[in-house]
Amino acid sequence: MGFPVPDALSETDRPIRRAMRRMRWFKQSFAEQVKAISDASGVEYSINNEKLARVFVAWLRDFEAQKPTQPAARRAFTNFASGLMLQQLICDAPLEVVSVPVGSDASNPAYYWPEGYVYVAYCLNVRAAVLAQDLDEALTLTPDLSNIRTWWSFKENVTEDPALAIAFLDLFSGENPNWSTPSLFYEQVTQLPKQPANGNQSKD
Amino acid sequence: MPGSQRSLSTSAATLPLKDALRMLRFTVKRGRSLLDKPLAPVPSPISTVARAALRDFDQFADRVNDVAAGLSHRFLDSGDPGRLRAATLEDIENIGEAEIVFAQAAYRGLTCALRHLGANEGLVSEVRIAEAYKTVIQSGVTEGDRFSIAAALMQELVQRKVVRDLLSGPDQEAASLTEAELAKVSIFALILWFLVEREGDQDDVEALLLTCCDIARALESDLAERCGDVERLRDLFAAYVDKI
Repeated sequence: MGFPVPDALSETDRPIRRAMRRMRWFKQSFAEQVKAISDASGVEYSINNEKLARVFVAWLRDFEAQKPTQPAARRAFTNFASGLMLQQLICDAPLEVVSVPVGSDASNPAYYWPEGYVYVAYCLNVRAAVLAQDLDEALTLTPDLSNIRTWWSFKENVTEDPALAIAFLDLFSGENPNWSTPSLFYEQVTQLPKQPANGNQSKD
Repeated sequence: MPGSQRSLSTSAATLPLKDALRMLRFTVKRGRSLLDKPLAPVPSPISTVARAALRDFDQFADRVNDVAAGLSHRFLDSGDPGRLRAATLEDIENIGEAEIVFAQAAYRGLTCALRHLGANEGLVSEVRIAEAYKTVIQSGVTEGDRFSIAAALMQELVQRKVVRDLLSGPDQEAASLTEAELAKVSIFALILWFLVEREGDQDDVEALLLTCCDIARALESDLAERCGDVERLRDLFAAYVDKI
């Protein structure tokens, strides 16, 4: 399962990890992501720019507060920062669904939770773009991403605790999720708390 | 350039007149909307008389409004009155009679910002803006960095109540802010906008201002907390200027 990639995220002439920390770029790339998904799915959305600014400010604060000191932690922090973005998008909900095509299949994640689908697509695309640009690495999406049962669990869990969005984004991109303290960044893997034996299964 | 100096001096002389004409139009408009409200529950004969009186008031108000608007547009606004200036705070500092240029640019910027933030009506005073700017420049704060100037300017603009008598629409999110909060948010947005580097000619100055408004709205609680502390306000400008 792949998502449409906005133009702003296919740019190669400036570092996306820096561009991401500018509101104008964030606003533009998010709007492009919404349009790309809307064109593909037929779902119409409206964006609340005031809420989007709130997302940006809160994300930026978390980002600055947890920025690692070691260059070796850059890859892990890229993953973590995109998860933080997902958490904040879910918290402030800047998207509203205006209309869904008649007869759309609710077992497809794009129609089951249209707003969540855009948020996940955007954050995974940002993660993929930064990893490709900075580390020449391709992001591998897991089959969990198209599994509607995972989306049921995802929606239910993040509605209760938005911080779990960080762990779910890791799950979707084949990383090892930190389910117990997802909103804390650990520069070294050895600092990570011990994970529940069943990982995401315990979240179902 | 002697020509442009002469035209700036004319602008300086017309600032109080512009404010007065704007206030006249605003007062007539606000008066009309206030008179309109109590009419509904009044019994029929009285209501008929009252409505006739209101019709007369409307005609008078329309005439006042037309004359004031005509004077403003014909004699006071040079160039395109609705157009936002692309100049930054630094650009303005180096122009002759900078307080007048700043007041004109800030008036347009604040009007646009307030509309975006949901204020349907309100008064913005160019005279008070010019006075605030002059006070800050003469205070010696310009020896500091541009964020210190920005912070001092914001405090001065807030203290002088350059924005006042605001009314928000009933379903606007701005209705949840008090007039003082809305004034702080719009002034912070304006000054942040003046600080942000323009990215060439293609950069849309209005879109940039609206983005600054959205950021300022998101920082509303920080503004409430820091507005009285010039150092902390300075840090807030410094933290966000390259994040727009």
